[in-house]
Amino acid sequence: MNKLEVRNLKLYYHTSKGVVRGLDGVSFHLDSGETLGVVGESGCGKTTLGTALLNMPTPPGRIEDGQVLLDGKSILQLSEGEFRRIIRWERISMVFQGAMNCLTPVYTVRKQMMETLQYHRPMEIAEAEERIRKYVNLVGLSEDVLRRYPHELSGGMKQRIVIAMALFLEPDVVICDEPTTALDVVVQAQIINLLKDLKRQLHLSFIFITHDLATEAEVSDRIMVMYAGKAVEIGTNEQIYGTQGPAHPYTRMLLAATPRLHRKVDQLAFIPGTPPDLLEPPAGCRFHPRCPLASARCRQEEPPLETIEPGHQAACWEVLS
Amino acid sequence: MYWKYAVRRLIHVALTYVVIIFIFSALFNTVMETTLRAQITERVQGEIVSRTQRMAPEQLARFREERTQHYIKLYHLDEPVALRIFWRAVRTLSFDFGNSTIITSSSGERKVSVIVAEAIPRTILLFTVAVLIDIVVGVAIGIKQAQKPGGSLDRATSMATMVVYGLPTWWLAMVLIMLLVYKIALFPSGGMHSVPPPSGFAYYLDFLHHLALPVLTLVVVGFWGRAYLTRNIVLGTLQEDFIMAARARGLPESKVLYGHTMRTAAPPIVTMATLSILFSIGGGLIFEGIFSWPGMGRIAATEIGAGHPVQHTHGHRNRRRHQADPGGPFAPAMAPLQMSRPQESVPARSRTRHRPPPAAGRAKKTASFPTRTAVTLIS
Amino acid sequence: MQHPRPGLGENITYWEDNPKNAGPSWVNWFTGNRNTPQVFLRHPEVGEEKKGDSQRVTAVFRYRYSYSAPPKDLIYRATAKGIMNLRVRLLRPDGKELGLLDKVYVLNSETDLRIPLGKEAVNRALEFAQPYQKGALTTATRETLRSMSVFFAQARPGMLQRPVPLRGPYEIKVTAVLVGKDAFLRGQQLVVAGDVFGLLGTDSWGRDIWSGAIAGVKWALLIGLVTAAVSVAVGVLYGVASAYFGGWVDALLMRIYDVFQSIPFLPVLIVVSAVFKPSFWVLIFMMCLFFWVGPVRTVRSIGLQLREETYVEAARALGASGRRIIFQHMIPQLVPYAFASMALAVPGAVVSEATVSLIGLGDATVVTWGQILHDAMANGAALQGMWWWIVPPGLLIALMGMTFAFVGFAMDTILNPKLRTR
Repeated sequence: MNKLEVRNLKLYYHTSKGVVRGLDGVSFHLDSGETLGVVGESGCGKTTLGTALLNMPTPPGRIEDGQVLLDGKSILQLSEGEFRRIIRWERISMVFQGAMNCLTPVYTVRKQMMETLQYHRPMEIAEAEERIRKYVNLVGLSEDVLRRYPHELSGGMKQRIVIAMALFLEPDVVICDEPTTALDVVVQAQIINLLKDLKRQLHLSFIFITHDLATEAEVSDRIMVMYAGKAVEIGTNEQIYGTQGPAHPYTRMLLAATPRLHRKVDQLAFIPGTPPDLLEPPAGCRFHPRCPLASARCRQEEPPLETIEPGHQAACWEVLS
Repeated sequence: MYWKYAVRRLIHVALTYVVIIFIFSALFNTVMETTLRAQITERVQGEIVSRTQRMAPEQLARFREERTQHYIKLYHLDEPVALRIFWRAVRTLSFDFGNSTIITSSSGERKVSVIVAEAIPRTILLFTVAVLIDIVVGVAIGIKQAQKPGGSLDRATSMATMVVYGLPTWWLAMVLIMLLVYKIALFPSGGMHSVPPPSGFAYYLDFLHHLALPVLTLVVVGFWGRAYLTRNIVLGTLQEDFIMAARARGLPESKVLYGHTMRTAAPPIVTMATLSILFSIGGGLIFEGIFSWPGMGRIAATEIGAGHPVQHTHGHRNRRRHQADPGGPFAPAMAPLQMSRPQESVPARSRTRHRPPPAAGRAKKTASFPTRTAVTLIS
Repeated sequence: MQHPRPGLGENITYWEDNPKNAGPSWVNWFTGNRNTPQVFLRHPEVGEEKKGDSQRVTAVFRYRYSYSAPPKDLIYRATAKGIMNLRVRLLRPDGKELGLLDKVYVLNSETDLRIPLGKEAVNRALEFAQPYQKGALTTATRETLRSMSVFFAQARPGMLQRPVPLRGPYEIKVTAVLVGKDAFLRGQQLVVAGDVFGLLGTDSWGRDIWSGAIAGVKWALLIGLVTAAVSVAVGVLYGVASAYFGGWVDALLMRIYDVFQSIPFLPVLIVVSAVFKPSFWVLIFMMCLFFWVGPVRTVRSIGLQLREETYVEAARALGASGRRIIFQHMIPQLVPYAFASMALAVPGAVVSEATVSLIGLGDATVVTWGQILHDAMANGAALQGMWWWIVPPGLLIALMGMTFAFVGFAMDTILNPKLRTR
């Protein structure tokens, strides 16, 4: 059984201008101990996916349809209270993007960690301290960060704290939403290494959301490429990044757009056009306005996500034929 | 670590106070001089009238001269202006206000400082109690409003806030008195106690009975502004990322709201509350007058009503005569109170040591002009 | 009761006929038509006949009486010249007709006549009531007789002690015979003086409060808008200057600001007015003098932030002068805030003026709501339960405040996107 299975998840934002389809039927699965990377451009629905899995859509969003199964059990229909007690943070936790703003500025680090810990797992203070210290050390920080206020810490330190907090309840699934985007390259590397270590040590399942293909390649076992609220390709690291190259034109163009270190390039490749307006997505395949391989069918019919080889799915008429 | 800042502020306050007193002194001097001279002429005229029969015209003229000079000397009008201003300022700064003819304290004292010292606590009692209730109710409602912005409570109270915004408290006082005192005799018409005041426990009940309507009036007008302000501050805070993060961590809403949100939103709210309390000490001249509340306002009102801004004490030649300033008891007393508000939102009593420096930018943006006006309107 | 204010300029007779301390006429809906509303009968049926040097002018006023209390008086007004024999008769619904007046007036020049008929007709009233009384009328009754009670009561025994109103159509017939070359009679009016008057009643002098309330609107708007605009403009400039120049300029400006902010408005005003009663514009000036401190702090902190913006830095690098930066780059950012402040400052100004007027320090020649309330308090309106004098002006102040508050708060919400609820 998969640790996490998502079936046809739909999350729409009901704004005053209309209904924005943030997630429009996304399906995937996550095995125990596996890291699934979620890639895509800004606005493709990656962060929405994260909030959806925590059942905390940003208002005015609402989960319209779909199922999320954790160890085979559907969790979306739990009441808010139950979800909060049982699932949120206990079994699914999240490392936020821009951790600089995710820690309450008026509480010390220790207080925030203790509060979360005690709420979910009431235990003796000494025991709680023990655990907190363990995880703080695990992320490579010394214990005196506990006494500090968030504004007294650097970006990298804050990110580590947030990671520690996401881990210390030892949840089943940890969603990392762009954990390194706001950091400089050196710290970024440190955090990535840390995540790899943790993955190895703790055997947790990660969902790693980013728009940076390079880091994605480092960390993920499997990759899901998203575009305009839908998953367009899912495959193993090897299948996507390997010599054979990805299947979906979008993924191909994404990879082509990444500058190569050892190749001289006169002009950088890019994907023409802009991501579609999710208020009124284009008919048929959502990528067709920008796709060089677009055919008449692409313009009319939306391609389903189909398996093209074991462990590899793509949603493209050209590939499926 | 904040001592240096506090000391600097205190020095500023003291300096500003001195400057203000000098300004007042100069102001009052001009006023007093004009009226004094007029009064002297009157007095001398009065003295002459009784003597016209007995004295010859040249004698009268001389007499008039003499008496005028006498009074001028008496009131130090012959001294240079700057000197007079200076001495008046010095006297005021040393809290030597002189005596009043038209008012006595409840113990029959005529010293202005005694009268004022008696009246200030009464003013404080009325207005500060009202402000405290105001704050408690206002903040509570503001928080509720922020939880469901755009909801029915929010819209209803926002509407009420705007309706009440331009409502003069003294007018509402008049209306409520007409209604609840004369039409339906629910409350007494004014004053602090019944005459004669009952004894024992009934004394306190009677006092509360008298306190009720003024406080009610103040609260009814006052708490909306605070609720609105609290609502805005809390609403702003609720949209921060860390609140979302706290919720994501599975913390219950009560902890998120009252712990994380309120703690962060506290500085501007505390500033507002503290400012309100301090402003409340200034009292309300008109308001007290309408309720005949024996506080600072009533004294000022009596002074105005008497029409003569200057009084002096008769007799007792051996004692030096001082003059009671118009609003003299009022202004110097008000000035230090007006100035002792915290200039910025220095969190004076935070438990944690490494408090971030006052979030000057943010706090200022939220303690905006509406607050200022709202708070000023309260007083 | 105090003297009406001099300098009000209007024709003082305009309110002469109005009842004093009278409530609004619509109170009648609730009291079942108990009181007589004041009515001005201005369009009688006029008839004229000329015979040589003399003329005969007739006028018929029709009046429908359907109330419990009799009118206070019937006042005849006209403009005339010449030698005039004026006769007024009253025709009641029960068919009885009585003479109210039969008098000769010698008017050598154009004269405005005002004849309260009640007083003139006392004897007629006595005559009329006599037949229905048992025995002779006592002197007491004679002296306290109110002719109007008699004329508008049913003719029956006991009509003096317990008059029952005679409701129905009445006619007041005026016949004037004029002699003289340029004799004329025109502008005839009959005022039925009532207990209640108009939309908002009258005050102790009989002045219509509704007119006063309406008159106050323009003053309130003037005071409010001018004070708000000037004080906020000054405050914004002050704050921006302080923020931009920084250093000792900032420190100095802030100290001055501290002093101004600590001076209490009302006491100083009281002291100043002990010397001279401030006129209207002096009052506005003084309010501006105190109110400019309002926006300074916030504007200064915004200004401090704006000063650090890159475009300001760029402008300075380009050699822009301080004045240009302030006016071209910083002020435009503050304009929305300034407008919101102005909107929200108006109620404060209006209330301040009302407060000042209330304690009698305002400009007495101007009809503001504060002045009306001052008159109300001075004449003990609260004690006498004259709610129509006290409630409307205050309500209007609140209404004006509310209007500007709506505008200002809306602008506040627009400016601060965090406060949006949609």
